[in-house]
Amino acid sequence: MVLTTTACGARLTDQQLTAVRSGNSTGSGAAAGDGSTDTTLADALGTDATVPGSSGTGSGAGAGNTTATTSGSGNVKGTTTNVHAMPAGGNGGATDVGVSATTVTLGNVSTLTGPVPGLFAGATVGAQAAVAYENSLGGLFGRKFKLDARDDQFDTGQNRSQTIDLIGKALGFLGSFSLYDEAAADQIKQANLPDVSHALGEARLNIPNNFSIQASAKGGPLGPFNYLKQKYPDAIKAVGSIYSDIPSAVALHQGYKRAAVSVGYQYKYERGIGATETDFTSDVVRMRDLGVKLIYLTSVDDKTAARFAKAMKSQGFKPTAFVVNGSGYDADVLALAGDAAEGMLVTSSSSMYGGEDAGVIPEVALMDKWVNNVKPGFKSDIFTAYAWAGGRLLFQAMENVGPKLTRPAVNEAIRKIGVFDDFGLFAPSNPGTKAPAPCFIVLKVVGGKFTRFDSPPAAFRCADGPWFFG
Amino acid sequence: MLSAETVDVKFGVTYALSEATVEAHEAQVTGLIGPNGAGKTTLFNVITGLQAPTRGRVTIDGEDVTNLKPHIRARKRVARTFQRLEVFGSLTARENILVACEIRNQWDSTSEDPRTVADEILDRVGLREVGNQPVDAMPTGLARLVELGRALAIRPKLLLLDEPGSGLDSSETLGLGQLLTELAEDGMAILLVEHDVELVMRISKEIYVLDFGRVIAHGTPGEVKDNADVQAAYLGAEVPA
Amino acid sequence: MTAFLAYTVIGIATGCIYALTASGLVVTYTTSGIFNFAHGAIGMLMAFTYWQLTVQNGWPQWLALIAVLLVIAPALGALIQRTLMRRLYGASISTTLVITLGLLLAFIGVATVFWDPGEPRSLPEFFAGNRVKVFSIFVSYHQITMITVAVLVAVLLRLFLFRTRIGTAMRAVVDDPELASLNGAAPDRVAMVSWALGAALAGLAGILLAPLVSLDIILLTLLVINGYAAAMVGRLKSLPLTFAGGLALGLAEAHAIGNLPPNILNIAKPALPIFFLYAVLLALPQARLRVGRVVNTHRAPRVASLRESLVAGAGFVAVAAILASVLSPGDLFTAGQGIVFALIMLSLVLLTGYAGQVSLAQMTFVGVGAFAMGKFFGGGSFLGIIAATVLAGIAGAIAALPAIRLQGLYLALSTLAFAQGMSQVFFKNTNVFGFGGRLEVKRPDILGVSFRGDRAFFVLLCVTFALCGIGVLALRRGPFGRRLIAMRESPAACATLGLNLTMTKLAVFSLSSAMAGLAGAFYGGLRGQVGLNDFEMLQSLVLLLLVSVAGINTVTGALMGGLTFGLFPKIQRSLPGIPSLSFLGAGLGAVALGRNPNGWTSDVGPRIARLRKMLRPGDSGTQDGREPEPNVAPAPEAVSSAQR
Repeated sequence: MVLTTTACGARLTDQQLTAVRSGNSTGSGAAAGDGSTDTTLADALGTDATVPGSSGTGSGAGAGNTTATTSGSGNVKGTTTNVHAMPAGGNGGATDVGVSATTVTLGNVSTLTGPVPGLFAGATVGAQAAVAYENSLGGLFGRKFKLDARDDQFDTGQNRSQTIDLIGKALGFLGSFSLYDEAAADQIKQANLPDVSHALGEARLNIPNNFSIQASAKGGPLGPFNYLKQKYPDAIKAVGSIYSDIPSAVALHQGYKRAAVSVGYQYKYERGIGATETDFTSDVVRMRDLGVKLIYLTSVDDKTAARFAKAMKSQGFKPTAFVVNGSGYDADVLALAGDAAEGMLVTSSSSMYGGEDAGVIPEVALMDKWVNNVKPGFKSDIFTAYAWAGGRLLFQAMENVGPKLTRPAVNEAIRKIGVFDDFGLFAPSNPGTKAPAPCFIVLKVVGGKFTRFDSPPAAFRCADGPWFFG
Repeated sequence: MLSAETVDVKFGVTYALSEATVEAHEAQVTGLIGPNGAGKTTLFNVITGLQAPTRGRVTIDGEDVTNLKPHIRARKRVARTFQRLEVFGSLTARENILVACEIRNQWDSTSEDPRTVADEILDRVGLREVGNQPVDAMPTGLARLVELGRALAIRPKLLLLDEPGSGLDSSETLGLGQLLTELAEDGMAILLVEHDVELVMRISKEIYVLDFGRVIAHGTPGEVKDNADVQAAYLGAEVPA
Repeated sequence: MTAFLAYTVIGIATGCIYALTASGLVVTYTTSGIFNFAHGAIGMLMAFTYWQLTVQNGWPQWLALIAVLLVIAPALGALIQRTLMRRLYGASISTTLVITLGLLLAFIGVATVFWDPGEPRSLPEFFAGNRVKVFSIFVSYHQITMITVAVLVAVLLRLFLFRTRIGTAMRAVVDDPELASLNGAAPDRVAMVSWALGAALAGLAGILLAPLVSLDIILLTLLVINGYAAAMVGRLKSLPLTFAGGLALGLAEAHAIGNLPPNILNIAKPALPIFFLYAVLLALPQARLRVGRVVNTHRAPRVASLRESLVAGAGFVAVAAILASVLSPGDLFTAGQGIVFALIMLSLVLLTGYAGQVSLAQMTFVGVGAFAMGKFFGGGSFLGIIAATVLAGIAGAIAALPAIRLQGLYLALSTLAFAQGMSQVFFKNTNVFGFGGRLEVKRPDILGVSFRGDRAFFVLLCVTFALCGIGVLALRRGPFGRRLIAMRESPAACATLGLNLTMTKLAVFSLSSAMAGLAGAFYGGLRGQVGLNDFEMLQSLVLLLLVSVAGINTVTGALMGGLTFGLFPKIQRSLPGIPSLSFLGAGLGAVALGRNPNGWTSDVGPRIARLRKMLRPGDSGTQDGREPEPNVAPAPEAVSSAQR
């Protein structure tokens, strides 16, 4: 079906992607309060774990030999054995599908080819990087990991058949990424194998054994909106918003809008743009004439964000704030927009995994190192980060399970880990309960580069507000 | 039966037809001759509704049909053949006629079985032997006969023939002439465009001569033959006795 | 007031681009009778070439412009005309559409090979950084350049067409296609010039657009669709009107954004070019039935008898049952996809192969069928299959009705507008595919027998295909089938026999889309879910291409085409080094089609017949295997002038 998904499909992909990335949910269900304590956040995320508020302390063991750490989530390690070596007395051999005495096979089905070649290749690369890293430590309990990566070629049917095939061969899924990931959701649910993949489709997200890094949810985050409100109190009364007109992006926009309106935002102009639209001069002029002060791009792709910035520049329109949600953090935006992007704000629930944070968040440097190991010169993107983080979560869980590796045990272990932020790479969320993360950071384009703005140097803002489930 | 009155057809700045007035009466063959580009086919197109006239009127059986669509005019039992073949090439000769009969049965109140009629017409035009050949594979002359047969399928009262004899050998031409005479004797009005002037002269009761879109002569075959304008128009060509 | 003027200026700027794009289209169409669907693709290629020369190789702008617009683009246009279009003069819309579409895909493939889509590329604007204030807005020098160029082109084209000899020769076709066609195909030199000119205009539009749009292969190729509406306003022959049409569209869009309240705007804006197109198409006067047949060079395929089709059908089902028990689930799925597409293609055999009508919206009807199957009667009922078929049939009638007076190209374009409209209004509607853009479709139980299992479903699918195939052949052998063929071969002759073409067309459109809807029910059931991406208009185009390449007027052709389609992903996977294989393949297929309009399976029938003749020498009456004399319409005036 490669042929048939050309053109419009490719454009749609871009925009659906942005829905994905914009859907980096931020916020939690608990009420906002200033200076909210760790326990409030923890309540919100549905676990009584102590959540790390700053970088450096992960919610699990760090690299290398483990020590008996209680991450407070009930993962008790009684011994100080080397978890990477074969235990005395063996590891039990083939304890479940995809497991042998020496290897564990993990599956990945992502869209690699199609109208947009290499669409979600980052996901596969991220998974490979995580696997390579874990193998470099020696694997777990005498087993090394193998990633069986498949391509669904941007086709539902392919996704389904590849997924079904892998269910019979792998212990679980790591880092799968596809617009068609609902294709075999029923089978994944039935097999009850660990599926540590960021789910795009609702059906995939809702199965109990899917553990999405940063699950999305209905409604929107109050955190960023409260922040903007406090910073630009007048501007929020005159908002102009642009979003992609694909149903999922529309839904996202509407959820975010409801959240914003609930704290006093007033929208003067909003438009859903089509896949082939490239000229935004009229929109800019209209918004300027309507007195719009805050421009919020809810769910657009990087090219649209760049074009919009350029349209604003060419008309000399500088609103009080120009904010792009999620997908704005993309080097391509800077490349395409040039100095028109100067001053652009991005609200994001991930750290600057592209490298800017490498100095302050070791995990960023680590991921970068191993990504370059498996694919030299590869530019990490959000899918890479999801897959990498997923790997870290999965391996931690498997470590906690011990040598007798079974699918249900791994699922349980993931749930027990509870809150997970991959050592500061992402805002903390709970893959087990699918609670969206309440935290975010603000980025600003300064001197042609993304820099943290009004945000702690190596952590997230978590106190601005919960998730608005409306 | 048929009357085309002062028909003008203008393309750009050229007049394909200018004040052309032609009549065709029942039970006779009316000839229509003239050099190339004279406008004969254009006139046919105007009569059948495939070309709108810039000016003028077309009357069939007393009724003004100038503004009627082609298929409505056809249902008044007007049939035609085309100068450049418009046969249904993928279908066999028999199927060509058969489909015309079936179409006719849709709008005509008749109890005649299409297949019977089709076979009858096939015989009449002398194509029984090649009935099962696809017309695409036939020589042009035979294909023209298929078109003629197809036109007959709707039991027309007025038959417009555009060079039906083109591509026929002399015995076939004789046969054609015979057939047309018989049809006329049965009451049909036939308007015949032909380059085989001998044939036209032989079977027509009246002849119109067209040149540069105008009717330059009209009369019996004898009158037309002797007409000086006609001879001038055919400059140099022998007008056979 | 200033606001109004501001939007007017914006509208003029964008409108000029539409006008420029459309002018190139009109120039090629009026002089060759071929609507070049690959026009935008040519523009895209030229924009990339220009980028390559200026940004990558450092050529000065003026040199690169000369090279691209005066050398490379015209050469490409002339090449296309020489190798492909020359044979197509007077060909049917289905043939030309398919071939130009193949070109489009081939060009996309070529571009993908040379310029990796993963990297962002941009072209600087002309006179970048400079702008001028007009009313309350800023107009960049680049936009002024665009307007100037568009106006200049319009003026120069008019001078060219009215004052030069070649231009006048081209115009002869514009003024009266009838007369011109009576004189036979346009002399080669005129045709080559017109295609060269068209390509240069495409390249010009591409180079001007690319800085604003970014160098995106697919996007640049598709933007030309906005120009179609403008071209229609000019009735595909009047350049001034085309220009006006482009301006009108640009102005409408700008003022819509400028004035409409957001909730209306969100529905109106995306639909604007489509409504434009539809409105113009409907306002066109009833097209004259054209006399003057295409030179018919292809053999009519032999039609199987009832006994033969029943036997073949039974054999097919038998093979299917065996395969169902033998194939792995993955392979069974692939085979199933193939059969589903074979069924869709069968519906096109009916519509395009038999009746000669072109539909660029077939996948839309498949989508309607899938939707009905998934939504109604609980999502997995036998009644759902019926609903899918009936609903799609009705949709087909609705689609055809407004455009039924139109013919050929215009009818095809109105189906395109319909497909686009459905895409915007129906499939994107959250009530149809929900907020996820996806709908679950279940498999049916029939009379207590469950077909939810993969194997049972596959067999059911094959039985359905066999039944439809037998039905289509039976139709072909009967009166309705004969009428369809007649309508395709000569609508004019049909009219003179008293046939109301409208009703016949309506009937075949409905029947064909009903079959597509039936296929849609299986399409959804096979995959378990469908999404709005599955039914995009471009899908329909590709489908049409494949059907034509495989053989558009036989059941066998539909089957072959469908299976090829289903196998594509497998082939693609075994050749990972060539991601654009599918595009190149499609392109080459289309070129090959230019040589054998019947498609490659058309050879199958005659070969079998020849084989049979060898085995049973006494057999007479089969007409295949013999070279037919082409029934060439004699050039009338030329022949008869000998008698002067």
